[in-house]
Amino acid sequence: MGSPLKKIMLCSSEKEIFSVEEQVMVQHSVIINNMIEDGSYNYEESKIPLDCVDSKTLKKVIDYCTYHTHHHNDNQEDLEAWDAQFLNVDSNGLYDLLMAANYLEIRNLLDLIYRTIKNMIKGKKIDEIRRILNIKDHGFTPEEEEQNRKEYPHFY
Amino acid sequence: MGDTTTTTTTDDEDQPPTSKRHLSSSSSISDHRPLPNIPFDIVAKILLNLPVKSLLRFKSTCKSWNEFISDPQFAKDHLRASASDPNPNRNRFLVTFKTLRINNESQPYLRDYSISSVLDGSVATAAPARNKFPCLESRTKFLCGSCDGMICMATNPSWPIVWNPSTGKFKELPPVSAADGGLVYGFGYDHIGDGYKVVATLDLSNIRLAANRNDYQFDNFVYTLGTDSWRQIHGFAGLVVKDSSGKFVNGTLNWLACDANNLAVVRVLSLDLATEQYQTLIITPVEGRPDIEVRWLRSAVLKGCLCIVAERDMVADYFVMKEYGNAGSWTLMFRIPYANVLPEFFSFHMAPIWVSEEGDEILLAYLGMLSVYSTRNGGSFKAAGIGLFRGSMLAAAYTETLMSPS
Repeated sequence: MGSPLKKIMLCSSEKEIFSVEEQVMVQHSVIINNMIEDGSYNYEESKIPLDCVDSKTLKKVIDYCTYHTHHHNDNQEDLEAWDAQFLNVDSNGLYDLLMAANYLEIRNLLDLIYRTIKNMIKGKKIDEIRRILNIKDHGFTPEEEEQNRKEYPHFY
Repeated sequence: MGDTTTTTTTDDEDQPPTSKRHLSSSSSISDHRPLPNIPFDIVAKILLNLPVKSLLRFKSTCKSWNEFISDPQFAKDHLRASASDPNPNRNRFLVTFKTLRINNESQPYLRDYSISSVLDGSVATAAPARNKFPCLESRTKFLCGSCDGMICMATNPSWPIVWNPSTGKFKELPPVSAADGGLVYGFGYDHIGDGYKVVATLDLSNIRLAANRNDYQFDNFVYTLGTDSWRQIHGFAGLVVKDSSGKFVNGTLNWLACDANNLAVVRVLSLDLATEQYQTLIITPVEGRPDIEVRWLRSAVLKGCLCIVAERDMVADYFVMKEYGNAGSWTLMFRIPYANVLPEFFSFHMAPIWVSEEGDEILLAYLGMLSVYSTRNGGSFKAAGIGLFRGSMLAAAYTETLMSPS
Protein backbone atom coordinates (compact mmCIF):
# COMPACT_ATOMS: atom_id res chain seq x y z
CA MET A 1 0.00 0.00 0.00
CA GLY A 2 2.77 2.44 -0.90
CA SER A 3 5.59 3.77 1.20
CA PRO A 4 4.66 4.77 4.75
CA LEU A 5 5.64 8.37 4.15
CA LYS A 6 3.46 8.84 1.10
CA LYS A 7 1.20 11.86 1.64
CA ILE A 8 -2.40 12.55 0.78
CA MET A 9 -4.24 15.86 0.76
CA LEU A 10 -7.39 16.57 2.72
CA CYS A 11 -9.41 19.72 2.13
CA SER A 12 -11.54 21.23 4.90
CA SER A 13 -14.82 23.09 4.48
CA GLU A 14 -12.80 26.34 4.54
CA LYS A 15 -10.73 24.97 1.61
CA GLU A 16 -7.67 24.68 3.79
CA ILE A 17 -5.39 21.87 2.61
CA PHE A 18 -3.91 19.38 5.08
CA SER A 19 -1.14 17.06 4.00
CA VAL A 20 -1.18 13.78 5.94
CA GLU A 21 0.74 10.53 5.84
CA GLU A 22 -1.36 8.17 3.78
CA GLN A 23 -0.93 5.32 6.25
CA VAL A 24 -2.31 7.40 9.10
CA MET A 25 -5.64 8.00 7.36
CA VAL A 26 -5.85 4.61 5.64
CA GLN A 27 -5.48 2.80 8.94
CA HIS A 28 -8.21 4.79 10.66
CA SER A 29 -10.76 5.99 8.13
CA VAL A 30 -12.82 3.40 6.30
CA ILE A 31 -13.83 6.00 3.71
CA ILE A 32 -10.29 7.10 2.89
CA ASN A 33 -9.05 3.53 2.90
CA ASN A 34 -11.72 2.69 0.31
CA MET A 35 -10.75 5.68 -1.88
CA ILE A 36 -7.09 4.67 -1.87
CA GLU A 37 -7.87 1.02 -2.46
CA ASP A 38 -10.20 1.52 -5.39
CA GLY A 39 -7.69 3.88 -7.00
CA SER A 40 -10.02 6.88 -7.08
CA TYR A 41 -7.34 8.98 -5.38
CA ASN A 42 -4.79 10.51 -7.71
CA TYR A 43 -1.58 11.37 -5.84
CA GLU A 44 -0.58 14.08 -8.30
CA GLU A 45 -3.80 16.07 -8.43
CA SER A 46 -6.40 14.87 -5.95
CA LYS A 47 -7.30 16.39 -2.70
CA ILE A 48 -10.10 14.80 -0.77
CA PRO A 49 -12.82 17.39 -0.21
CA LEU A 50 -14.36 17.17 3.26
CA ASP A 51 -17.04 19.82 2.91
CA CYS A 52 -18.70 19.08 6.21
CA VAL A 53 -15.51 19.12 8.32
CA ASP A 54 -14.06 22.48 9.34
CA SER A 55 -10.31 23.11 9.66
CA LYS A 56 -10.25 23.08 13.44
CA THR A 57 -12.05 19.72 13.61
CA LEU A 58 -10.05 18.23 10.74
CA LYS A 59 -6.82 19.15 12.49
CA LYS A 60 -8.00 17.38 15.62
CA VAL A 61 -9.08 14.31 13.67
CA ILE A 62 -5.67 14.16 12.00
CA ASP A 63 -3.99 14.58 15.40
CA TYR A 64 -6.01 11.66 16.72
CA CYS A 65 -5.23 9.37 13.79
CA THR A 66 -1.54 10.33 13.78
CA TYR A 67 -1.12 9.72 17.49
CA HIS A 68 -2.91 6.39 17.42
CA THR A 69 -0.93 5.24 14.38
CA HIS A 70 2.41 5.95 16.03
CA HIS A 71 1.47 4.94 19.58
CA HIS A 72 -0.67 1.87 19.07
CA ASN A 73 1.86 -0.17 21.06
CA ASP A 74 1.64 2.09 24.10
CA ASN A 75 0.01 0.64 27.17
CA GLN A 76 -3.73 1.00 27.49
CA GLU A 77 -3.59 3.42 30.40
CA ASP A 78 -1.36 5.90 28.57
CA LEU A 79 -3.59 5.78 25.51
CA GLU A 80 -6.69 6.36 27.63
CA ALA A 81 -5.03 9.30 29.32
CA TRP A 82 -4.13 10.77 25.95
CA ASP A 83 -7.69 10.19 24.69
CA ALA A 84 -9.12 11.92 27.76
CA GLN A 85 -6.90 14.93 27.14
CA PHE A 86 -7.80 14.83 23.45
CA LEU A 87 -11.53 15.00 24.20
CA ASN A 88 -11.09 17.95 26.54
CA VAL A 89 -13.30 20.06 24.28
CA ASP A 90 -16.54 21.98 24.60
CA SER A 91 -19.89 20.59 23.54
CA ASN A 92 -19.71 22.05 20.04
CA GLY A 93 -16.21 20.64 19.65
CA LEU A 94 -17.40 17.22 20.76
CA TYR A 95 -20.31 17.38 18.35
CA ASP A 96 -18.07 18.41 15.43
CA LEU A 97 -15.66 15.57 16.19
CA LEU A 98 -18.56 13.13 16.38
CA MET A 99 -19.92 14.18 13.00
CA ALA A 100 -16.45 14.13 11.40
CA ALA A 101 -15.63 10.69 12.81
CA ASN A 102 -19.01 9.48 11.64
CA TYR A 103 -18.49 10.89 8.14
CA LEU A 104 -14.95 9.54 7.79
CA GLU A 105 -15.91 6.27 9.53
CA ILE A 106 -13.14 6.34 12.09
CA ARG A 107 -14.22 3.44 14.27
CA ASN A 108 -12.04 3.87 17.35
CA LEU A 109 -12.64 7.62 17.54
CA LEU A 110 -16.37 7.04 17.16
CA ASP A 111 -16.32 4.44 19.93
CA LEU A 112 -14.44 6.87 22.14
CA ILE A 113 -17.02 9.60 21.56
CA TYR A 114 -19.96 7.20 21.97
CA ARG A 115 -18.48 6.14 25.29
CA THR A 116 -18.05 9.75 26.34
CA ILE A 117 -21.64 10.67 25.52
CA LYS A 118 -22.82 7.46 27.15
CA ASN A 119 -21.06 8.47 30.34
CA MET A 120 -22.55 11.94 30.09
CA ILE A 121 -26.09 10.53 30.21
CA LYS A 122 -25.71 7.29 32.17
CA GLY A 123 -27.33 7.56 35.59
CA LYS A 124 -28.74 11.00 34.81
CA LYS A 125 -32.25 12.20 35.53
CA ILE A 126 -34.54 12.59 32.54
CA ASP A 127 -34.65 16.37 32.75
CA GLU A 128 -30.87 16.45 32.76
CA ILE A 129 -30.59 14.15 29.73
CA ARG A 130 -33.07 16.29 27.84
CA ARG A 131 -30.91 19.29 28.62
CA ILE A 132 -27.59 17.64 27.73
CA LEU A 133 -28.87 16.28 24.43
CA ASN A 134 -30.93 19.38 23.68
CA ILE A 135 -34.20 17.46 23.40
CA LYS A 136 -36.74 20.28 23.37
CA ASP A 137 -39.75 18.34 22.11
CA HIS A 138 -40.09 15.03 23.93
CA GLY A 139 -43.09 14.05 21.82
CA PHE A 140 -45.21 12.73 24.68
CA THR A 141 -48.71 14.09 25.09
CA PRO A 142 -49.10 16.20 28.25
CA GLU A 143 -51.12 13.31 29.71
CA GLU A 144 -48.38 10.74 28.96
CA GLU A 145 -45.71 13.02 30.37
CA GLU A 146 -47.72 13.63 33.54
CA GLN A 147 -48.42 9.91 33.89
CA ASN A 148 -44.68 9.13 33.55
CA ARG A 149 -43.74 11.76 36.09
CA LYS A 150 -46.34 10.46 38.50
CA GLU A 151 -45.34 6.81 38.01
CA TYR A 152 -41.57 7.32 38.12
CA PRO A 153 -40.95 10.52 40.09
CA HIS A 154 -37.37 9.42 40.87
CA PHE A 155 -36.54 9.40 37.13
CA TYR A 156 -36.95 13.16 36.83
CA MET B 1 -6.86 25.65 19.11
CA GLY B 2 -8.94 28.19 21.02
CA ASP B 3 -11.01 25.63 22.85
CA THR B 4 -13.24 26.96 25.56
CA THR B 5 -12.75 25.84 29.10
CA THR B 6 -15.75 23.56 29.43
CA THR B 7 -14.73 19.94 29.42
CA THR B 8 -16.15 16.52 28.85
CA THR B 9 -15.13 13.58 30.89
CA THR B 10 -13.79 10.29 29.66
CA ASP B 11 -14.20 8.43 32.92
CA ASP B 12 -14.49 4.94 31.65
CA GLU B 13 -17.42 3.41 33.43
CA ASP B 14 -17.28 0.33 31.28
CA GLN B 15 -14.66 -1.38 33.35
CA PRO B 16 -14.98 0.05 36.80
CA PRO B 17 -11.99 -0.96 38.87
CA THR B 18 -13.92 -0.36 42.05
CA SER B 19 -17.34 -1.34 43.20
CA LYS B 20 -18.53 2.20 43.68
CA ARG B 21 -21.84 3.16 42.18
CA HIS B 22 -21.53 5.44 39.21
CA LEU B 23 -24.80 7.22 39.49
CA SER B 24 -23.52 10.39 41.04
CA SER B 25 -23.11 13.09 38.48
CA SER B 26 -19.76 14.53 37.69
CA SER B 27 -19.61 18.28 38.03
CA SER B 28 -17.64 18.77 34.82
CA ILE B 29 -20.55 17.20 32.94
CA SER B 30 -23.39 19.03 34.60
CA ASP B 31 -21.73 22.33 33.76
CA HIS B 32 -21.79 21.28 30.18
CA ARG B 33 -23.80 23.15 27.64
CA PRO B 34 -26.25 21.11 25.56
CA LEU B 35 -24.90 19.23 22.56
CA PRO B 36 -26.28 20.26 19.20
CA ASN B 37 -28.90 17.75 18.04
CA ILE B 38 -27.29 14.42 17.33
CA PRO B 39 -28.78 12.42 14.44
CA PHE B 40 -30.90 9.55 15.72
CA ASP B 41 -28.84 6.79 14.07
CA ILE B 42 -25.92 7.91 16.23
CA VAL B 43 -28.09 8.13 19.35
CA ALA B 44 -29.23 4.59 18.57
CA LYS B 45 -25.65 3.32 18.63
CA ILE B 46 -25.04 4.99 21.98
CA LEU B 47 -28.21 3.51 23.48
CA LEU B 48 -27.13 0.06 22.31
CA ASN B 49 -24.25 0.13 24.76
CA LEU B 50 -26.14 1.31 27.81
CA PRO B 51 -27.11 -1.00 30.67
CA VAL B 52 -30.69 -2.24 30.98
CA LYS B 53 -31.41 -0.17 34.06
CA SER B 54 -30.53 3.06 32.24
CA LEU B 55 -32.52 2.07 29.17
CA LEU B 56 -35.66 1.36 31.16
CA ARG B 57 -35.41 4.83 32.62
CA PHE B 58 -34.51 6.46 29.31
CA LYS B 59 -37.82 5.33 27.82
CA SER B 60 -39.22 8.41 29.54
CA THR B 61 -36.78 10.77 27.78
CA CYS B 62 -38.83 11.19 24.65
CA LYS B 63 -41.31 9.34 22.51
CA SER B 64 -38.80 8.29 19.85
CA TRP B 65 -36.46 6.79 22.46
CA ASN B 66 -39.41 5.08 24.08
CA GLU B 67 -40.49 3.43 20.84
CA PHE B 68 -36.93 2.55 19.90
CA ILE B 69 -36.04 0.96 23.25
CA SER B 70 -39.37 -0.91 23.41
CA ASP B 71 -38.86 -2.49 19.98
CA PRO B 72 -38.14 -6.26 20.20
CA GLN B 73 -35.48 -5.80 17.52
CA PHE B 74 -33.65 -3.36 19.79
CA ALA B 75 -33.77 -5.95 22.59
CA LYS B 76 -32.08 -8.44 20.25
CA ASP B 77 -29.46 -5.95 19.06
CA HIS B 78 -28.79 -4.94 22.65
CA LEU B 79 -28.39 -8.58 23.64
CA ARG B 80 -25.84 -9.08 20.88
CA ALA B 81 -23.98 -5.89 21.77
CA SER B 82 -23.84 -6.76 25.46
CA ALA B 83 -22.44 -10.23 24.73
CA SER B 84 -19.13 -8.56 23.93
CA ASP B 85 -19.36 -6.10 26.81
CA PRO B 86 -16.99 -7.03 29.63
CA ASN B 87 -18.88 -4.97 32.22
CA PRO B 88 -19.36 -7.42 35.10
CA ASN B 89 -22.15 -5.37 36.66
CA ARG B 90 -24.79 -6.80 34.41
CA ASN B 91 -24.16 -10.36 35.59
CA ARG B 92 -26.61 -11.37 38.26
CA PHE B 93 -28.08 -14.49 39.79
CA LEU B 94 -31.16 -15.72 41.58
CA VAL B 95 -31.14 -18.15 44.46
CA THR B 96 -34.00 -20.10 45.90
CA PHE B 97 -34.37 -22.99 48.26
CA LYS B 98 -35.35 -26.53 47.54
CA THR B 99 -36.16 -27.51 51.08
CA LEU B 100 -38.24 -24.90 52.73
CA ARG B 101 -37.04 -24.49 56.25
CA ILE B 102 -37.13 -20.78 56.51
CA ASN B 103 -36.22 -18.96 59.66
CA ASN B 104 -38.22 -15.91 58.91
CA GLU B 105 -41.49 -16.57 57.14
CA SER B 106 -41.84 -13.00 55.95
CA GLN B 107 -38.64 -13.14 53.90
CA PRO B 108 -39.02 -13.60 50.18
CA TYR B 109 -38.13 -17.08 49.02
CA LEU B 110 -36.30 -15.88 45.99
CA ARG B 111 -33.37 -13.53 45.99
CA ASP B 112 -31.61 -11.59 43.31
CA TYR B 113 -27.99 -10.45 43.58
CA SER B 114 -25.28 -9.11 41.35
CA ILE B 115 -22.16 -11.22 41.01
CA SER B 116 -20.01 -8.19 41.79
CA SER B 117 -21.80 -7.60 45.11
CA VAL B 118 -20.66 -11.04 46.22
CA LEU B 119 -17.12 -10.53 45.01
CA ASP B 120 -16.68 -7.20 46.76
CA GLY B 121 -18.49 -8.28 49.90
CA SER B 122 -21.33 -5.76 49.69
CA VAL B 123 -23.92 -8.54 49.29
CA ALA B 124 -24.31 -8.90 53.05
CA THR B 125 -25.62 -5.37 53.40
CA ALA B 126 -27.44 -5.22 50.07
CA ALA B 127 -31.18 -4.73 50.00
CA PRO B 128 -32.79 -8.15 49.60
CA ALA B 129 -33.92 -7.72 46.02
CA ARG B 130 -35.96 -5.82 43.60
CA ASN B 131 -39.57 -5.89 44.45
CA LYS B 132 -40.98 -7.33 41.28
CA PHE B 133 -41.02 -11.08 41.62
CA PRO B 134 -44.03 -12.49 39.86
CA CYS B 135 -46.42 -14.55 41.95
CA LEU B 136 -44.73 -13.63 45.19
CA GLU B 137 -47.49 -15.21 47.20
CA SER B 138 -46.69 -18.62 45.83
CA ARG B 139 -44.46 -20.50 48.22
CA THR B 140 -42.43 -22.83 46.10
CA LYS B 141 -40.20 -21.65 43.31
CA PHE B 142 -38.17 -24.03 41.21
CA LEU B 143 -35.57 -22.40 39.02
CA CYS B 144 -35.61 -24.36 35.80
CA GLY B 145 -33.22 -22.54 33.53
CA SER B 146 -31.82 -19.28 32.30
CA CYS B 147 -31.28 -18.01 28.78
CA ASP B 148 -30.57 -14.51 27.42
CA GLY B 149 -31.62 -12.80 30.63
CA MET B 150 -34.88 -14.72 30.98
CA ILE B 151 -35.50 -17.23 33.75
CA CYS B 152 -37.83 -20.19 33.55
CA MET B 153 -39.25 -21.11 36.92
CA ALA B 154 -42.22 -22.98 38.27
CA THR B 155 -44.28 -21.76 41.17
CA ASN B 156 -46.58 -24.71 40.67
CA PRO B 157 -44.97 -27.88 39.28
CA SER B 158 -47.18 -28.03 36.22
CA TRP B 159 -47.35 -24.29 35.64
CA PRO B 160 -44.08 -22.68 34.63
CA ILE B 161 -43.35 -18.99 34.24
CA VAL B 162 -40.78 -17.31 32.03
CA TRP B 163 -39.61 -14.13 33.65
CA ASN B 164 -37.14 -11.39 32.85
CA PRO B 165 -36.01 -10.14 36.26
CA SER B 166 -34.37 -7.05 34.74
CA THR B 167 -37.57 -5.69 33.20
CA GLY B 168 -40.04 -7.43 35.52
CA LYS B 169 -41.97 -8.75 32.51
CA PHE B 170 -43.17 -12.32 32.78
CA LYS B 171 -45.31 -14.84 30.95
CA GLU B 172 -47.34 -17.50 32.72
CA LEU B 173 -47.45 -20.59 30.55
CA PRO B 174 -50.60 -22.67 30.33
CA PRO B 175 -50.44 -25.92 32.30
CA VAL B 176 -48.81 -28.86 30.57
CA SER B 177 -51.62 -31.21 29.61
CA ALA B 178 -52.27 -34.30 31.74
CA ALA B 179 -49.51 -33.28 34.08
CA ASP B 180 -49.89 -35.83 36.83
CA GLY B 181 -46.42 -37.27 36.91
CA GLY B 182 -43.15 -35.67 37.90
CA LEU B 183 -42.12 -32.76 35.74
CA VAL B 184 -38.68 -31.55 34.78
CA TYR B 185 -38.24 -28.36 32.78
CA GLY B 186 -35.56 -27.00 30.55
CA PHE B 187 -35.36 -23.62 28.83
CA GLY B 188 -33.28 -22.50 25.90
CA TYR B 189 -33.02 -20.85 22.50
CA ASP B 190 -33.62 -22.43 19.11
CA HIS B 191 -31.29 -20.52 16.81
CA ILE B 192 -32.79 -21.97 13.62
CA GLY B 193 -36.41 -21.18 14.45
CA ASP B 194 -35.32 -18.02 16.31
CA GLY B 195 -37.49 -18.82 19.32
CA TYR B 196 -37.23 -19.57 23.00
CA LYS B 197 -38.47 -23.00 24.07
CA VAL B 198 -39.53 -24.50 27.36
CA VAL B 199 -39.31 -28.28 27.35
CA ALA B 200 -41.32 -30.24 29.91
CA THR B 201 -40.26 -33.81 30.54
CA LEU B 202 -43.09 -35.73 32.05
CA ASP B 203 -42.78 -39.02 33.86
CA LEU B 204 -46.02 -40.76 32.93
CA SER B 205 -45.13 -44.27 33.98
CA ASN B 206 -44.46 -43.47 37.61
CA ILE B 207 -41.08 -45.07 38.04
CA ARG B 208 -41.61 -46.34 41.51
CA LEU B 209 -44.58 -48.45 40.45
CA ALA B 210 -43.37 -49.65 37.08
CA ALA B 211 -42.99 -53.40 37.15
CA ASN B 212 -40.49 -53.58 34.35
CA ARG B 213 -37.74 -51.02 34.14
CA ASN B 214 -37.98 -51.05 30.37
CA ASP B 215 -41.44 -49.58 30.78
CA TYR B 216 -39.98 -46.36 32.11
CA GLN B 217 -41.40 -43.81 29.78
CA PHE B 218 -40.89 -40.09 29.60
CA ASP B 219 -43.02 -37.86 27.43
CA ASN B 220 -41.79 -34.50 26.26
CA PHE B 221 -43.70 -31.34 25.51
CA VAL B 222 -42.40 -28.12 23.98
CA TYR B 223 -43.72 -24.62 24.44
CA THR B 224 -42.31 -22.00 22.10
CA LEU B 225 -42.64 -18.49 23.54
CA GLY B 226 -45.24 -16.59 21.55
CA THR B 227 -47.33 -19.63 20.55
CA ASP B 228 -49.33 -20.06 23.74
CA SER B 229 -49.59 -23.83 23.52
CA TRP B 230 -47.71 -27.02 24.33
CA ARG B 231 -46.78 -29.45 21.61
CA GLN B 232 -45.80 -33.06 22.21
CA ILE B 233 -42.46 -34.15 20.78
CA HIS B 234 -40.56 -37.44 20.94
CA GLY B 235 -40.26 -38.92 24.38
CA PHE B 236 -37.76 -41.53 25.44
CA ALA B 237 -37.82 -44.86 27.24
CA GLY B 238 -35.31 -46.96 29.12
CA LEU B 239 -33.81 -43.93 30.82
CA VAL B 240 -34.44 -42.23 34.13
CA VAL B 241 -33.88 -38.49 34.27
CA LYS B 242 -31.85 -37.53 37.31
CA ASP B 243 -31.68 -33.75 36.95
CA SER B 244 -34.14 -31.27 38.39
CA SER B 245 -33.80 -29.11 35.26
CA GLY B 246 -32.40 -29.26 31.74
CA LYS B 247 -29.19 -27.32 31.15
CA PHE B 248 -28.99 -25.14 28.05
CA VAL B 249 -25.66 -25.37 26.25
CA ASN B 250 -24.81 -24.87 22.61
CA GLY B 251 -28.37 -25.00 21.28
CA THR B 252 -29.23 -28.13 23.27
CA LEU B 253 -30.89 -29.01 26.56
CA ASN B 254 -29.03 -31.52 28.67
CA TRP B 255 -30.07 -33.77 31.52
CA LEU B 256 -28.18 -36.37 33.50
CA ALA B 257 -29.97 -39.65 32.97
CA CYS B 258 -29.48 -43.20 34.22
CA ASP B 259 -29.84 -46.33 32.20
CA ALA B 260 -33.09 -47.83 33.51
CA ASN B 261 -31.48 -51.26 33.74
CA ASN B 262 -28.28 -50.07 35.33
CA LEU B 263 -28.85 -47.13 37.62
CA ALA B 264 -25.12 -46.91 38.33
CA VAL B 265 -24.48 -45.60 34.82
CA VAL B 266 -25.21 -41.92 34.31
CA ARG B 267 -24.85 -40.22 30.96
CA VAL B 268 -25.87 -36.91 29.43
CA LEU B 269 -29.11 -36.97 27.51
CA SER B 270 -29.25 -34.07 25.10
CA LEU B 271 -32.04 -32.61 23.02
CA ASP B 272 -31.26 -30.40 20.04
CA LEU B 273 -33.71 -27.49 20.37
CA ALA B 274 -33.74 -26.78 16.64
CA THR B 275 -34.48 -30.31 15.39
CA GLU B 276 -36.15 -31.43 18.64
CA GLN B 277 -34.25 -34.71 18.27
CA TYR B 278 -32.22 -36.50 20.91
CA GLN B 279 -28.55 -36.92 20.31
CA THR B 280 -26.30 -39.81 21.27
CA LEU B 281 -25.83 -40.07 25.02
CA ILE B 282 -22.62 -38.38 26.12
CA ILE B 283 -20.30 -40.24 28.49
CA THR B 284 -19.42 -38.36 31.68
CA PRO B 285 -15.85 -37.99 32.98
CA VAL B 286 -16.67 -40.12 36.03
CA GLU B 287 -18.20 -43.13 34.34
CA GLY B 288 -16.83 -46.34 35.80
CA ARG B 289 -15.37 -44.63 38.85
CA PRO B 290 -16.37 -46.78 41.85
CA ASP B 291 -15.63 -43.98 44.33
CA ILE B 292 -18.32 -41.73 42.91
CA GLU B 293 -21.90 -42.32 43.87
CA VAL B 294 -24.47 -41.55 41.24
CA ARG B 295 -26.64 -39.67 43.72
CA TRP B 296 -23.87 -37.12 44.25
CA LEU B 297 -23.69 -36.19 40.59
CA ARG B 298 -25.22 -32.99 39.34
CA SER B 299 -25.06 -30.87 36.22
CA ALA B 300 -24.68 -27.13 35.77
CA VAL B 301 -23.62 -24.58 33.18
CA LEU B 302 -20.39 -22.67 33.73
CA LYS B 303 -18.85 -20.26 31.22
CA GLY B 304 -21.22 -21.51 28.55
CA CYS B 305 -20.01 -25.10 29.03
CA LEU B 306 -21.85 -28.08 30.43
CA CYS B 307 -20.48 -28.84 33.88
CA ILE B 308 -20.68 -31.98 36.00
CA VAL B 309 -20.23 -31.77 39.73
CA ALA B 310 -19.06 -34.99 41.36
CA GLU B 311 -18.90 -35.00 45.14
CA ARG B 312 -17.19 -37.64 47.30
CA ASP B 313 -15.37 -37.79 50.62
CA MET B 314 -15.43 -34.04 51.33
CA VAL B 315 -14.12 -33.23 47.87
CA ALA B 316 -16.06 -31.87 44.90
CA ASP B 317 -14.77 -32.12 41.35
CA TYR B 318 -16.12 -29.67 38.79
CA PHE B 319 -15.68 -30.93 35.24
CA VAL B 320 -16.55 -28.89 32.17
CA MET B 321 -16.97 -30.16 28.62
CA LYS B 322 -14.77 -27.66 26.77
CA GLU B 323 -16.00 -28.72 23.36
CA TYR B 324 -19.69 -29.51 23.46
CA GLY B 325 -20.51 -33.09 22.43
CA ASN B 326 -16.92 -34.28 22.63
CA ALA B 327 -16.65 -36.57 25.67
CA GLY B 328 -12.88 -36.41 25.28
CA SER B 329 -12.92 -32.71 26.13
CA TRP B 330 -14.10 -33.05 29.75
CA THR B 331 -11.66 -31.03 31.82
CA LEU B 332 -11.32 -30.83 35.59
CA MET B 333 -11.85 -27.15 36.30
CA PHE B 334 -11.93 -27.14 40.09
CA ARG B 335 -11.20 -29.67 42.79
CA ILE B 336 -12.59 -28.22 45.98
CA PRO B 337 -11.72 -29.82 49.30
CA TYR B 338 -14.43 -29.23 51.87
CA ALA B 339 -12.74 -30.71 54.90
CA ASN B 340 -11.26 -28.18 57.34
CA VAL B 341 -11.93 -25.19 55.13
CA LEU B 342 -15.63 -25.05 55.54
CA PRO B 343 -16.85 -24.41 59.05
CA GLU B 344 -20.05 -26.10 60.08
CA PHE B 345 -20.24 -28.19 56.99
CA PHE B 346 -22.72 -30.99 57.26
CA SER B 347 -24.18 -31.58 53.87
CA PHE B 348 -23.26 -31.47 50.24
CA HIS B 349 -25.07 -29.92 47.32
CA MET B 350 -23.17 -26.81 46.47
CA ALA B 351 -24.74 -25.08 43.50
CA PRO B 352 -22.10 -23.52 41.24
CA ILE B 353 -23.19 -20.12 39.93
CA TRP B 354 -20.32 -18.37 38.23
CA VAL B 355 -16.64 -18.73 37.36
CA SER B 356 -14.22 -15.83 36.96
CA GLU B 357 -12.78 -14.99 33.56
CA GLU B 358 -9.36 -16.25 34.70
CA GLY B 359 -10.96 -19.48 35.93
CA ASP B 360 -9.46 -19.15 39.40
CA GLU B 361 -12.61 -18.24 41.35
CA ILE B 362 -15.96 -19.98 41.58
CA LEU B 363 -19.12 -18.69 43.24
CA LEU B 364 -21.12 -21.34 45.08
CA ALA B 365 -24.44 -21.40 46.90
CA TYR B 366 -25.00 -23.87 49.69
CA LEU B 367 -27.05 -24.12 52.88
CA GLY B 368 -28.25 -20.55 52.72
CA MET B 369 -24.72 -19.28 52.18
CA LEU B 370 -22.88 -17.80 49.26
CA SER B 371 -19.20 -18.45 49.04
CA VAL B 372 -16.37 -17.74 46.65
CA TYR B 373 -13.73 -20.43 46.39
CA SER B 374 -10.40 -19.26 45.06
CA THR B 375 -7.62 -21.54 43.87
CA ARG B 376 -5.07 -18.87 44.78
CA ASN B 377 -2.78 -19.53 47.75
CA GLY B 378 -3.51 -23.23 47.76
CA GLY B 379 -7.27 -22.75 47.82
CA SER B 380 -9.48 -20.79 50.16
CA PHE B 381 -13.15 -20.00 50.79
CA LYS B 382 -14.40 -16.50 51.23
CA ALA B 383 -17.89 -16.63 52.72
CA ALA B 384 -20.24 -13.88 51.66
CA GLY B 385 -23.15 -15.28 53.58
CA ILE B 386 -26.74 -14.30 53.29
CA GLY B 387 -27.39 -16.83 56.04
CA LEU B 388 -31.17 -16.68 56.27
CA PHE B 389 -32.03 -20.13 55.16
CA ARG B 390 -31.22 -23.71 55.85
CA GLY B 391 -31.60 -26.18 53.07
CA SER B 392 -30.20 -26.88 49.67
CA MET B 393 -30.30 -24.00 47.25
CA LEU B 394 -31.05 -23.65 43.60
CA ALA B 395 -29.32 -20.91 41.68
CA ALA B 396 -29.59 -19.43 38.22
CA ALA B 397 -27.13 -16.94 36.78
CA TYR B 398 -28.39 -14.45 34.23
CA THR B 399 -27.30 -11.38 32.32
CA GLU B 400 -29.40 -8.24 32.27
CA THR B 401 -31.29 -7.98 28.97
CA LEU B 402 -34.45 -6.41 27.58
CA MET B 403 -35.69 -9.67 26.05
CA SER B 404 -39.44 -10.07 26.45
CA PRO B 405 -40.92 -13.42 27.50
CA SER B 406 -44.26 -12.84 25.76
